[in-house]
Amino acid sequence: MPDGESARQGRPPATQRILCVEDEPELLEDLVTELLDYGFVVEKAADGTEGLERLALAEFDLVICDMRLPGMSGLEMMLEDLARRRDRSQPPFVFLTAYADEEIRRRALVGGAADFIVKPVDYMQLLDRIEQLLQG
Amino acid sequence: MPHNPQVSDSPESNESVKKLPLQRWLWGSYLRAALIPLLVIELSFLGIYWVTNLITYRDTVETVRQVSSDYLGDVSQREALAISNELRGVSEQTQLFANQALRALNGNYDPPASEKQRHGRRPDGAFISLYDNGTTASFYSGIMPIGPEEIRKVWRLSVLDPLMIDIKETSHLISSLYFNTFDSYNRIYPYFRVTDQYPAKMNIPAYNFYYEADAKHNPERKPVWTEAYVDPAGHGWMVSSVAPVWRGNKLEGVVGIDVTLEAIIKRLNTLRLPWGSYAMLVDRSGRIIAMPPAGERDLGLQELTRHRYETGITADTFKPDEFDLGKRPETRQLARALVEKESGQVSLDLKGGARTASFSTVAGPHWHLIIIAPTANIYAEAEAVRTRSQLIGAVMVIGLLLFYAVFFMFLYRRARAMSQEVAEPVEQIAALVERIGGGAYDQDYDGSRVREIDQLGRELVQTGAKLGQAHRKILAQEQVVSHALEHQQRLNEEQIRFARVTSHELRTPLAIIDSTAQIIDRKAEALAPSDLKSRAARLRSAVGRMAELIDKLSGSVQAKNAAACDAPEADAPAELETILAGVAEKYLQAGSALLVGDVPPATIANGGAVTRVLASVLENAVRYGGEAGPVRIEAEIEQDLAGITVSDSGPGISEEERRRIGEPYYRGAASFGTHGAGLGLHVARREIESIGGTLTISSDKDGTKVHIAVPVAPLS
Repeated sequence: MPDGESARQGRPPATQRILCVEDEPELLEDLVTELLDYGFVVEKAADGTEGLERLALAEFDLVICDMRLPGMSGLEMMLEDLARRRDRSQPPFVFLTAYADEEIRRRALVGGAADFIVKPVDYMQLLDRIEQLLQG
Repeated sequence: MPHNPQVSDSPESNESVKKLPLQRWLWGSYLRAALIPLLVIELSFLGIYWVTNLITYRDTVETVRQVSSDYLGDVSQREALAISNELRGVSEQTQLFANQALRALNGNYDPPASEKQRHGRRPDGAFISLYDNGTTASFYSGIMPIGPEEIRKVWRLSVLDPLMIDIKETSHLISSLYFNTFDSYNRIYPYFRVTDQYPAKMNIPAYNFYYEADAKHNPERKPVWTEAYVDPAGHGWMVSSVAPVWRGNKLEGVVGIDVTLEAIIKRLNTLRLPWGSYAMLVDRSGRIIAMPPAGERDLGLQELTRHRYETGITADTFKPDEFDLGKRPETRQLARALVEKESGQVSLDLKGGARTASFSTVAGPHWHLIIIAPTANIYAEAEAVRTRSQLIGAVMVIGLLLFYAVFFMFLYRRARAMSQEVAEPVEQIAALVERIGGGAYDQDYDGSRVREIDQLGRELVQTGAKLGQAHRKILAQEQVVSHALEHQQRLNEEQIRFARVTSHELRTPLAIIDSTAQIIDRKAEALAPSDLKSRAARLRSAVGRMAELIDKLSGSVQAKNAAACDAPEADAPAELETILAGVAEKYLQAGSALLVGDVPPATIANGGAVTRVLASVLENAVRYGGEAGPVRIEAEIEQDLAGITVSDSGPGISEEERRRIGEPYYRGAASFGTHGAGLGLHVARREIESIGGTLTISSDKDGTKVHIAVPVAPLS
């Protein structure tokens, strides 16, 4: 696993907001902790329905989302959010999932995902990727 | 195989050849091979016939013209000779008469008193016969004094009366005969009233019938013929044969025999002339002596035969100039020919149309007999030959046309019949090919009278049958291959699902483990012992999930093996109530809404298998439908089967999902967000089927029902 310390040269301003949607409570807790420690403003949701509610209530700079969620999948949630936004721009979605096959990856990227990262994930590398996306 | 450059099978060259229906092709072949050559030959023969006919016609016309010309000349010469002979007879009679007249003048005949008594003097001085006694009339003109000598001359000449009567009887041409003296005495037979006819002071030598015989006009002293003139004696138009009566060098008188033009015309009418021709007599000066009515029509003349003697004829009265051929434009050429030749032919254009005139000289009076024939009549025979030839030609042409019309019709019908005989079986073969091409391989063929077509049709039927057999074999093989491919596809899909599910179900606990490890690695010093303990429990839980997954995968393989071997694992019987209670206990203790109905007493043959299957089914029911309402378990006994139904109040399963839900590693939509390998129902069904039972799923909007039927153990 590569060392991600070098990637964290400049911390983001505390105004950058990230939504984390994950149905595995342990993973959600660890992910949120890492993002908070890094300096982001983080909100969390345990499924797609809750995720849509959060997205409706506040603007986020990035959404990290599991692919398989109870009720609706992460992809369905992203598309539903996009439909609800109308003229408002949608924040980049990074799918963090245990599905490793190319078909699901392709469907996510074609559907509009900013990135598709397979679990398990190195948090340092994840933070570097998030920084890149937020700067880009 | 070497390519023959002369044979092109390219579509372009094929399309450039005009395609014809069979009937038109056959008809065209008939035309090219038979009809046109025949027609050309026939037309050639017809042309040869026409040319030959034309040449023959020209030769025939020329020959006929020559023969006709010769014949017409012969006729004119023959008839001229006949007339000449008759006139010569008259001339000879004239000469005889003249001789007898001289003898009478030289004699001293004294007639009987009766003869003398019928004479008398008229007041004008003429000495005349007063009445008819069946002999002559006598007239002594009062132009000169009549003395006794003159009276004795009358008596002497009366001796001629019997002769005159006899001469008159010798020829039907003779109308009268007479003796005229230089001192104007006229003795004439037959009798007529001279008082009515002759002028009193008639000077007879002044008339042509006298002076034409005198020394000046007739130095040879032979009988001569006069021009046509009006007879002073009242017999109308006539010519006379006159002969002088010389006593030494003194012309005592002239005898004459009159021939009326009417008699001549009658004689001309008796001529046997061909082609509707007629004859006319013309004197030596070219003046018409006599002609029949046909001649009158051609020349527009009225022939002069009779004369109305309103007054006495005191001078010569000849035919007018219109009777002179030389003075008529249309006959001038003929008049010249009459002068130049003794005989010949001249073409004329008269009022009646084209005429051919053939003339011959009548010896003696040197008249001309002219036979005038309509030119068309002369060539009528040639025309008839030509008409016959044309008729034959026309009949040949019509016959040829009729023959070809019938022949063409016959060949056209034949071509149509042949094309039908060929085209129908060919069309049937084409239909056969189309049907065989369309997949109807077993066909019948009616056959054809044409051996090659018949053979082609039958071989096509056989080929179709063989193709059918081959096609059925291919279909059977395709079905086998299709089943194999389907099976392979199912295996592939199963493999993909297996990879996806196992990947996900392994990566999720791995992610938990990895996350925990990263946290501990970086924050071990900051973590409280309780946090570490909690994270250790999290690690163990994740490992447990992985172990459970491995167990399920292992169970699937076992179930597969069991089904494949068709040898269920031996299992101990168990009471149905005990099985249901054992399965439900876990959920009841966990507080799940689970209702178990009345359980009829029964012993299940394979208690262990049924327990595992029910546990799996119940887990799904609670997981996916448990939140919407209670899960129910009901049981019943039907003959030797125990039926157990687990029903929930969940959202139900679509038909597509219901069809696939028993497939291994397949997870329905409701399973999203839940752990699982998609093996529960698959393994359960395999296990139930391995012990002789069935597992069926039904679902609607009110929930899902899973029904298990398993054999009941026989009573011991």
